[in-house]
Amino acid sequence: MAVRTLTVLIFAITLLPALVYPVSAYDIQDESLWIFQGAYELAAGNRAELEGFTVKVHSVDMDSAEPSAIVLVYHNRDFKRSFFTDASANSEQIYDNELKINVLGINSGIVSLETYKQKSERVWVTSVPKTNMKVGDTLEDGSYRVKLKEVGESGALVSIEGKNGVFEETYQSGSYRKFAGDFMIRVIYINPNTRDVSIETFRPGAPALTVDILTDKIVYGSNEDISYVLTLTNSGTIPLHGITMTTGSSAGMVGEPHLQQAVLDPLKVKKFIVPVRTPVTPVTRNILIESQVTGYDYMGNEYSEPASFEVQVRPYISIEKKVEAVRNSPKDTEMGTDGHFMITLTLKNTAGYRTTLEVRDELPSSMIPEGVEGTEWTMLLDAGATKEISYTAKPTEAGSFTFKPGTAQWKDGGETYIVESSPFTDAFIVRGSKVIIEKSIVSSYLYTGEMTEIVVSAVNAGNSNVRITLTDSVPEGLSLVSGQPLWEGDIEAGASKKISYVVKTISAGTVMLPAARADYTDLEGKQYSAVSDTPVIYIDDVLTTEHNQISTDAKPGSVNVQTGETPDIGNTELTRIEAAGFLLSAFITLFSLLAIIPALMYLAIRGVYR
Amino acid sequence: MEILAFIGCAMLFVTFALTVLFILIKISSRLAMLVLVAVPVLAVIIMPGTSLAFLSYRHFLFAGGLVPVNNFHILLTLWSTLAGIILYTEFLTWYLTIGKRKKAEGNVSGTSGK
Repeated sequence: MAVRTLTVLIFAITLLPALVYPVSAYDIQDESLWIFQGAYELAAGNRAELEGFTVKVHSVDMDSAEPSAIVLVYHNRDFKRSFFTDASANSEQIYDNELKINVLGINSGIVSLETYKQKSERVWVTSVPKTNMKVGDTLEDGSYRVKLKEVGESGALVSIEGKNGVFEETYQSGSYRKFAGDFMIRVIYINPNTRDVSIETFRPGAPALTVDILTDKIVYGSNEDISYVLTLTNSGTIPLHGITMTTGSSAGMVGEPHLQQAVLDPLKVKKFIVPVRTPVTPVTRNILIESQVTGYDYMGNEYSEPASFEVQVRPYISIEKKVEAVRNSPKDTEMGTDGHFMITLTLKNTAGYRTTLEVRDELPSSMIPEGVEGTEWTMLLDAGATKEISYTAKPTEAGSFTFKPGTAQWKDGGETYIVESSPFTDAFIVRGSKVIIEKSIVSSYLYTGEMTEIVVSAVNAGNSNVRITLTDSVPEGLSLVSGQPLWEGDIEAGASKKISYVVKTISAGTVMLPAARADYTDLEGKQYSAVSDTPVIYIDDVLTTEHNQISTDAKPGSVNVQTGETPDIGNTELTRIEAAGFLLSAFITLFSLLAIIPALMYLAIRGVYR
Repeated sequence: MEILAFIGCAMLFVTFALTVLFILIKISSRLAMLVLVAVPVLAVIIMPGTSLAFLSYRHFLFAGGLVPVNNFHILLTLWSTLAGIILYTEFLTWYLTIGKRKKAEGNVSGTSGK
């Protein structure tokens, strides 16, 4: 019993594929065609790689009246046959009804040929999917209009109105017809009971090519390989054949400027890596890499897509600067003035020749380089070599420091080039004590006997509280009127203390005030000192006459307030007679100069008339 | 304020120049020359403070601060211009007068010779 059941089951399974018609039914979408595989221009020795076949031009004969060539055909790398071709009678050659070579022309030793392969390929794609129609219903597909006119025992009478007029035909279930190579109708099933007819239409498909370019980065060094990945996508409905990719660059070198791909099926993606090497440049420049991808459909229609990508190429000399804060003791949680900075400059030459470099590194003014004589070096950097310069810098005071980039300068072809390391964005904070002393005068221009205020301020710019003793002194030519040029006390981090005192001018002249001094001690007991600038007071004598008038009208300070301008200070020393004498002498000088020519002419004319 | 000071000073100098030119045309060139020199000199003698403050007032700094332009420089320019006008006016007047006289003398001697 079991054996019988099993036999029936096997028979049923074997019979099932035969009953399932759609499998074979959809072969109507395929066409056995000479599929265009690509157009090539080959010289003697060149070859075109197709899918499974290789076409090679063995020799070209340009001496005879009709240029000819011997073309070899390989199948799976095995030599199969040679063809004598020319551009006229022997232009079309077919191998084993699988490969067709069509020679278009032979010029200057170059054979221009097209290749085709006999292939059954899906060409027709569903345009209007399965639709149930009743008698009188109409279905439209572009410029085609399908109308079900009648359903009888002989089949369904369908009229198709298209570009070439109206065509009527009776269809059976599963029958189809193609119109002008761009439209196909198929009657899937006729239901004799309901008189419903299922119809679908097809149209020729088309490939759709998109090209994407991807590189691993956008900034490259000189003489560096670019990972240039070209991604082809066929988002169309039928395969694309005979794909050629041409890549060029505005500078640099493309390793494989021409690549080929026999076929790209619909909805398939193919990636190509094109080796591109950046040029050797002394300055940063952009290079444009351009690709042109061309393919053909089964009819030989061309589909072309350009793509480009721009990358930046850095100079062949590069410099990198690394700064590392080294604390005095590993226990320290913060960098202090007792620590130091380890600075490393890395220089690299990617060119194919050696270069002499002048390397400079500028430190913040309060830092002292240690272990080196200076922060300028001259060095020879061999082709492809990398060198390092390391030194330490000692901070002398607290604060927030930002390091400047290191620079390398060199000459190439008579021109001087310079590169900088990447700028530092982060600031290094050095903990410690730092007091800044500033000394200022309320009025710097005074007459004898006038008073002015001198202000001394101490700013704790460090990170810890300090105990400070501020001392200042009054120089000769001035006398202390009020206030004390002395102060002692504590200043918190970030705070400031200002003291002021009033002095009176005694005698005329220029008085340079001595620097105010601050001696301070931090919490750890370390002692420091700071001094201020030395401002200058200009003291003038008032005019011996008209004192009041001058002091109100000609006093430099008052003019300054009203106009923002400062009159010449020296004038105030003149007496009225001296001033008038100066004016008169100036006028006489001008007059004499102007009178020279008229006087000479007067004398000359007088002489003539006499 | 600076532009106001400049406009005020310019008005004073223009008034002074017009006064001198008026005297030159309407009264006498010698009086014009006298006024030209006497007014600033007397101003300095009578009001030294005010006058010197006025003359030393700096309007501009040319050539990156190298060349200051004070009212005194403007006064010198005015002086040289007006003194030149007066001098050459005098000289041309004399020259034209002497030429006219010689011509007249020539005509007279020619008539008497006939």
